[in-house]
Amino acid sequence: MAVGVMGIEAIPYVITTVILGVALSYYYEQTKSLTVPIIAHALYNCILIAVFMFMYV
Amino acid sequence: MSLVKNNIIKYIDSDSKAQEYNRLKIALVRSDVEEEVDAFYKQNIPKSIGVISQLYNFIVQVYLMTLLLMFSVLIYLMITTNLTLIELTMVTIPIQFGVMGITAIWFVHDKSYSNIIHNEKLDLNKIKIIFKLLGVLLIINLILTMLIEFINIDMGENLLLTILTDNPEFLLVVIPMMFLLVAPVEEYIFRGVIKVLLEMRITLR
Repeated sequence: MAVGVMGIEAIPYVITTVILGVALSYYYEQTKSLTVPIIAHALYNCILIAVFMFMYV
Repeated sequence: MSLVKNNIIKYIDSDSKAQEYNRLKIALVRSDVEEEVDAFYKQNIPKSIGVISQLYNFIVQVYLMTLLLMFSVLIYLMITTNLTLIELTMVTIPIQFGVMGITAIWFVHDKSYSNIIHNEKLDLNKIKIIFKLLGVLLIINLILTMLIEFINIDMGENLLLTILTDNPEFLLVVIPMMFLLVAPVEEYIFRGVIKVLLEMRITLR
C-alpha cells in the first residue's frame, strides 16, 4: 500500500519495516519483555538517521 | 439439563474455542432453553472474549478521538497563525504520540489484562541479541538504498532528514525523543496492544 501511495522509493522502507516488525515481535516473544524492542527500535532509528545524514550531507 | 450444563462446563474447563461454545449454544437455543443458557453463558463466558471486545472498542474510540483532536488543533493553528507545514507537523505529531502512548502504556500495565499481555522483567543476558538484529537490519537497509540509488530513482525527501540536515542542532532534541517518546510509544502500541489483539482474535476464531 505504501509503495502504491509513495512510489518505488518506498520499497526499502517497506521491506526493512516489515523485517524490523517481525524481528522485534520475535524477540518480544523470546524475552517476554517490551524493553528489548524499545531499545532496539530507538537504536535503529538513531543509527539510521546518523547513516543517512552522513550519506547526504 | 444437568447433562447439558456438564457439557458446557467441560468445554469451558478445557479452554474451548468460542466457535465450539457458540455451536453448543445454538443447539440449546433450538430446544427452547434460551434464558437458562444465556444466564449460564453470562456467568461463565471465557474472560478473554470480553477483554478483547473491550480492548478493540476502546482502541478504536481513542484512535478516532486522537484524530479529531489532531485535526482540530491543526485547523485552529492554520487559521490563527502563519506556521509552516513543518512547524504544524512538529505540533500535531506529539499530540498523536502522547494520546496513543498513554493509552497503550495504561493497557499494558493494567492488571486486569495481565492474563493476555506479558511484560516481564528483562533478563540482561538476552540484551545481546539486540546488536545482532540491528546489524542485520542496517545492512539490509543500506543495500536496498544503494540499489535504488544505483538504478537512478529519486529517493524523495524525508521531512525529518530535511529538518536535521538544515538544522543539525535539532539532533539534541530528536535523539532523546527517539529513546523517550517514539520507540516506547510505538512498541507499546504495536507489540503491547495490537499484536496481542490480533493474536487473540485469530486464536479465538
